[in-house]
Amino acid sequence: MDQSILEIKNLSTFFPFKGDRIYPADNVSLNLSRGKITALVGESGSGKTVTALSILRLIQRPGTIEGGEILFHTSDGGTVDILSLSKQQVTKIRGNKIAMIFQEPMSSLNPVLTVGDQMMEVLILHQRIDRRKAWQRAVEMLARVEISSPEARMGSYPHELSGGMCQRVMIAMGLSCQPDLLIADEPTTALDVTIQAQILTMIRQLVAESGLSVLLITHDLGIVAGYADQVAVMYAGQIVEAASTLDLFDRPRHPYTRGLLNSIPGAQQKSAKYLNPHKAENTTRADTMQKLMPKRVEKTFQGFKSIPGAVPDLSNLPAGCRFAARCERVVPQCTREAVRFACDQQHQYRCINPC
Amino acid sequence: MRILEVTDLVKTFKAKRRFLKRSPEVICALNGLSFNLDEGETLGLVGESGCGKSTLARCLLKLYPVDSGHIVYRGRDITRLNPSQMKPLRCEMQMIFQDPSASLNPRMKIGNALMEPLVVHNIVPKDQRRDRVTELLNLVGLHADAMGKYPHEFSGGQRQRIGIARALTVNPRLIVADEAVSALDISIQAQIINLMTDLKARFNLSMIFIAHDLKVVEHIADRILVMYLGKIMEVIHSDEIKNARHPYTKCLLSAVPVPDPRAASHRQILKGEIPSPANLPAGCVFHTRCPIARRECAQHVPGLREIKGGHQVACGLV
Repeated sequence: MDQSILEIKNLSTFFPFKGDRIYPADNVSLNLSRGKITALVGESGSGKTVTALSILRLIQRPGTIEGGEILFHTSDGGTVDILSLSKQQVTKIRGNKIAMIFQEPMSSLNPVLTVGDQMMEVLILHQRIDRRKAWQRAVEMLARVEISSPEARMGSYPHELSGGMCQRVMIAMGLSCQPDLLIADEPTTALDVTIQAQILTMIRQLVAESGLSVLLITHDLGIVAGYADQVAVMYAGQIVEAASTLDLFDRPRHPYTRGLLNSIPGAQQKSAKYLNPHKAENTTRADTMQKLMPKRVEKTFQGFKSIPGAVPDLSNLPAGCRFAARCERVVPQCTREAVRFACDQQHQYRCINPC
Repeated sequence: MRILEVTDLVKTFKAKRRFLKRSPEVICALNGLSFNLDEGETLGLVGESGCGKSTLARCLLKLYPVDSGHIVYRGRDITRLNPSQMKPLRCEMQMIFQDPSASLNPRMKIGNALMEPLVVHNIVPKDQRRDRVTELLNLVGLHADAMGKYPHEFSGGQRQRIGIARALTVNPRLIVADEAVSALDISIQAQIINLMTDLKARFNLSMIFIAHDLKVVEHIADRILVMYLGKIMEVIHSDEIKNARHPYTKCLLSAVPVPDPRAASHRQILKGEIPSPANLPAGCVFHTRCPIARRECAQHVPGLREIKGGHQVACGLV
């Protein structure tokens, strides 16, 4: 078994809402392995970001972490529960041992400070080194994230850089204190595919070279397949499936995961085997399409197997399984009781009637 | 029949004059584009941000004036028409925007928003307008109750359905969808793509579908047009996309994350970033990032040449 760097146990974070509480992270348990990239996938509003922010205790009031444990195993063998630390102790970990990069690189950099100033600030604060050393180290880091002429870039302001460059700066800043864990919240969502491939490949290399662990938050299963070692799928505040990347793509057990995989354009042929129970429905649809469409079009269109409906409202959750209303494998028991995690070796899923 | 013929379209923007700089920067967004669209066809438009996709969409619908070149719509040159001459044609060409929450007026009920085009163009008698709106809402999979609600009461996917319904109110022939599904979650994205394909077939619409996601475009389009810095790099049938020849198309294809953990190893990663359109590279615009560039690429501009039946490439080396 892999050594873990972070264990999240039954984390619950709530926000007050109309006199009640909603839980964007509801009893989340997740294990991050050392030196691996773990992906947390889900649609918007599924609680990915809240989970990530809870790890660093960055949840802003009125949001509150209600309970659970976040055990962080430091590289020197110690273990701390982040949730029971004082504010000062968390500040020492944040940015130093655990770094985070955000979705919008442009808006997470300070527009009135140069790149160099912002990078040096982190180093001076956490590593207690003087300005000259901090400067050298910052230049080194910029070079490491493949920014050309790093000395010149130290004097640039964020608006002078492109989105991809800003994200590189963010990564360099995040890694400058040599953290054990990097939390990357949708690091490439705002970027073009070509730049996305550059950035993710670079993160992958950094993991291989320095033994960094990464929590990669994304909504794109293509990214998961290409870059992650392990995956956890979130839906409406809960983790619904967790497995190694190969297991999850070879045999998705939760109907939601399967639905997500089938919704990806270009994944149809590959995952056709998962479609069997609904083959009949698909052919009738294809038949009507053929009648309606001119010949040229009919050749290319196969139709998506989309998930019907939308994510449930967190303030008005159904009893039982939260996916039941959209699920094609629903059985009466699904709507009656809360579904627990089932475990099949290393493959966990929250489903009574798995695929 | 051709619904749209575009020849040598050029569009430039002048940047603000900078202090102590003699001439204002000229940004060349579209740099001599030529293509055409058949009736009932879907043309996919892909490229990185800043390559001129949206500018092209807006020029086609005459939301921007063009600098030079011609846009011929159903045999009629519309390039120099003034707004009042364009008005009757607006019924025939409609646009679906990327961000449905920004393109719907937040203080207008959905019913009114959908009725407005009917009022402006006066194509449906007053007493039948409500029925028409109900019909449209049903068509995009929404309930007639939606008429009395405001945009914020809907989810992103539902709002995009409303955006589609609004484009269809005036019975258009041509739809330009500018990143219509990019802002949506993957499961919702699939629903909307299915809806658009359905409606397109039902009303025999011609469509220009703009997206940065090559996989989505591959699915919905008959032909794909790959753009880079305001120029066409390759035009290819979507079933043929695997046989793309242009190095840029190949790089784009290999950058797209594939949902298969075993297929991910051979990636050709494009170096650097898209150059500024204010300062275009000489010769082939792609040569600065091209993996197979040679010295002559920096000197002469490769024209778009046909390889076989409809497959066009702007590269001298393939």
